[in-house]
Amino acid sequence: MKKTLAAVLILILSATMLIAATVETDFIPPEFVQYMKPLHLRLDIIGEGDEIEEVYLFYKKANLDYVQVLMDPGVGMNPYYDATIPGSFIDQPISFYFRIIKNDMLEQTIPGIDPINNPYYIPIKRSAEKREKVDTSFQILSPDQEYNYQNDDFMVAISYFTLEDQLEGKTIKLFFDGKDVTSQTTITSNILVFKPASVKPTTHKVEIVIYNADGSVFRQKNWIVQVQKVPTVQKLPVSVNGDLLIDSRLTMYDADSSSYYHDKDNEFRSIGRLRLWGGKNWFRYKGRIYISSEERSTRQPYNRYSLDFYVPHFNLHLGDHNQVFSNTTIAGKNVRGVGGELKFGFFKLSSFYGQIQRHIKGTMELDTTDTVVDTFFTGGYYNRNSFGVRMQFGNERGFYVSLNALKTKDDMKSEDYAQNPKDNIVVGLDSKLSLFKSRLQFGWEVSASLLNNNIAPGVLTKDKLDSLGIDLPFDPESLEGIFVINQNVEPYKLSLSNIAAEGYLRTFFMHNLLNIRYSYVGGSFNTLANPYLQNDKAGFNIMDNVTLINNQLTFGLGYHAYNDNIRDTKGATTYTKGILLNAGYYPYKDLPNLSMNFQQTKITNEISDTMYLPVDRLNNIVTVTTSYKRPIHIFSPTDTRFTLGYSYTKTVDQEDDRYKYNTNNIRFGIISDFTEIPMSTRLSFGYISRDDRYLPEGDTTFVDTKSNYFTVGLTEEFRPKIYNDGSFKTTIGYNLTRSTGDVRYMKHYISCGVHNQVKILPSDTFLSFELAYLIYQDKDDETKDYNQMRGVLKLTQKF
Amino acid sequence: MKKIIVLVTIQILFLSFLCADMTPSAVVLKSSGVIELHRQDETKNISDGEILYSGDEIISKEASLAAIRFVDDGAIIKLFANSILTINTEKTENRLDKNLYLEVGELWSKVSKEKGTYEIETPTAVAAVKGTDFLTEVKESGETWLFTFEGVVELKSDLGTVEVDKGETGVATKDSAPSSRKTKKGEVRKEVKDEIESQVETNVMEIEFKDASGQTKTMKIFYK
Repeated sequence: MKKTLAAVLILILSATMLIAATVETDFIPPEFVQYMKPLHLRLDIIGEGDEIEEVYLFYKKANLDYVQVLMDPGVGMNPYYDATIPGSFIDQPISFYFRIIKNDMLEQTIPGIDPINNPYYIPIKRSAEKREKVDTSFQILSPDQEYNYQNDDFMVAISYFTLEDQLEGKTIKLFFDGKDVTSQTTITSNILVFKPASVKPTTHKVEIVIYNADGSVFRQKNWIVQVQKVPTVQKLPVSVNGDLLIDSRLTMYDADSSSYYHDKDNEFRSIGRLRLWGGKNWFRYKGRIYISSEERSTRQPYNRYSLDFYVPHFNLHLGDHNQVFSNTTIAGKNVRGVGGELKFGFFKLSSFYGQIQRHIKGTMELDTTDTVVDTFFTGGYYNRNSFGVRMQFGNERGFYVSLNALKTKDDMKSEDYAQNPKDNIVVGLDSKLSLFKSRLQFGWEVSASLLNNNIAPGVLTKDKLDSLGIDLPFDPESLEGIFVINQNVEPYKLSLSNIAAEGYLRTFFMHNLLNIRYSYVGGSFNTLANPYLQNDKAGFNIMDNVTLINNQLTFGLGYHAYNDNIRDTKGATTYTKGILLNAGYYPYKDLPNLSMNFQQTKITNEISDTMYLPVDRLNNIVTVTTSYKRPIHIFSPTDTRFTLGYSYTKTVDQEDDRYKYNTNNIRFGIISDFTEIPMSTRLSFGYISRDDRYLPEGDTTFVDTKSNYFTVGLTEEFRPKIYNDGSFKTTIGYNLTRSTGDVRYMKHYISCGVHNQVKILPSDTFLSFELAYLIYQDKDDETKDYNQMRGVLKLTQKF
Repeated sequence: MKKIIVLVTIQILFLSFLCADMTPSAVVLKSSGVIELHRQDETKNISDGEILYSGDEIISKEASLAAIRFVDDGAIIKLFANSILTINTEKTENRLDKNLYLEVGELWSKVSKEKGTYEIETPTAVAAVKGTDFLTEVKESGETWLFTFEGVVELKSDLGTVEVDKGETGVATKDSAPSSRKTKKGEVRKEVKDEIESQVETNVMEIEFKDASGQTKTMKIFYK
């Protein structure tokens, strides 16, 4: 029974994770970019956005490589990230995509399908403004923006090439800051050059005058030129780039003495992250320190320290780093130790050694005050060390085959009050074939494992084996250094149950991305280095996505089917099947966007043992979103976008009423960006209706609740030009939520924030401060009322 | 006597031709390392602000670089290390036609559309362009390599002609007609690529305004 519940819980959690794992965003690409004008891109996050670690923008033009930019998180109630592509880059159409790095180190891209080959593509539009006719008699060739505008190499060069034939009998004079410097100037028939002995880093006036023979002015022109100071740069033996992030959040509560929040402690969370990278010639390095106030000795580490070195043929990783061999060995697990890759031509050797679990102290207290001795035991954790070797033959962009070996073992000496120290060996083989510039990929992997669930009793001796009547062709004691063999080894006999295998096919032709994946994980297959790999599960997943008309039209169709109990060792087999349909239309022209999603998951079980409870659950999620952008004059010209979204979620279990859940969610938003004044307005309305069912504590009858939530929010963002070399913006917002029905409350959320980009050091500094105040009023129970104040201070320094 | 008159006339005509040709063509905006200038029988090292004339030969030594702008503001070029370049220009009305001869080495060019013709001759080919951004490299063997970053360049030799589009490499040898293909990663030396790309990192803003006396002035602001 417990196992069934656990399996069902895992399935629900998995499904929840699948849904929660996707960050929902709101982004409509611009119709075009203006020639040589900066392009501001803003990615709005729907929801809290707490799961996001950072967001990158990748942009490029023509066939050049992508440029990567860390997007700047915005302030205010509605999370967003923005970045700017500099105008100097935009002389051709621009392609770009976003990459979201989440807290769990998983990634998500927008567009989601093969963004590198299939990014957003924005055509260029040259300004239609009529240019005033410019006098081309004189051309100032220097100062030049690249060479001669600094105080140490300043030079004036003026060409009068087109006047060359009209200069007979005329006199040319040059004035610099009003002084006649003609005598220090080299004057030829079509050009003059003046090199001042010294020049101050400020603005200067340059004037050329051509006089007729009678002294009257033939032609004349002035320029104001800016001379820059030569920056004094301390040259280091290697380049150093980096950024520093400090993010501190304080939440304080205020409530009546009867409220739960009255005694609630203030919450303070702070993180600091320093990243450094650079190199010289063939040498590169990268370092990262991440320190969190959440770090406790009683749980697994939050802090991270890493230092990586890259030289030709060899990479070295010290400290915390992620290791990826294959999905069935180690994939994305943080290792605290040392790792490296050695690569020569078609051969690559990867290896690592380090901790994948830190020891946590357990406790045991004996209460001897009574005749019966009570024992209070809190289990700790052992240091879990892992060692892996991977030999790869071939090339990732063509064909390779790899051999993997992984050994993970708990260090029993590291903790006295932990239980069931484990020993695990996984060996595997994986291979991938990529053709047509990776547009067709076929890969497979197979691994086998041995797990000892408790090595504390030690290795089985020969005598013990004899007494148990087990005949092994080797002496377990002689293999103790490799693997501890005793009665807790799983599997007891080698079979398909200790095998895991996966195969996948990925094709991307004619804007059609097809993914097919099959996986089989035996009931006795275990790898301690990938705790997310669920064993005793087999099935497949097919997903096909089509994008047409330059990403403007998308269709997706997916199906998955999995089941557990693959060796019929349980009293119930749970089947999970699901379909996914989506379609989207994102025209660049002045037409509304439309996206539709439908997701259905069905979980049933086949019971052969009456102690298991039946499950017949159906979950449907429908989401429809449309948005429309058009210019509207609201006391000033605006780009105004209207968004209307509807989602419907329904979960029904034919066998168990507890899982009944129903929501309807409608949201409507208006976003106005004022094009002539530095301001934007966001107005949003939302309505959610919810049906829930729960079992009150100590009761046996389920209670149905029905609630309605109305929200209205208004946010103003101002971007006044306070600094010439930085950006400043400030946000104020108000959000009201009113709930009616069986759950009745009123919530006011007032926030204000400032965000500034300044140059404290020679490079950019970003400073954000946000203050929010929440007032919660429960209409039925005043003891639940509380006020909350939240402050966020964030500093990012790039160097 | 007649012979003397004829000889003197020829000499005067030749000198007039030489004088007519001594029209400034370009100015050196920036030079680093050792850049030699050969002008008729004179040889000297170039410094910033040097005015260049038609017929000047420029030789860049090891780890040297010269940035040159033409007087009609129609092109800016960068001559990389270990290169030999001869500048030939001819003024026709208000246009300056430019014909450069790159004997060996690497030359990057950014050419403005509205100005005169622009051609680079090499021992094996001629590159003719109108408004583009490209790099020409002449190897020791005389092979001409051309990398187009923007626009189209026509690469022609006695054996044929090929158009080298943006993102393509054109190759002309003594024995075969010019051909073009996609530029491969790493074909343009990193130092050269960095130097070329450094140009777009700086921006210029021109503002025209009138002062108190009503005079029109232009402010150029350079920013990175």
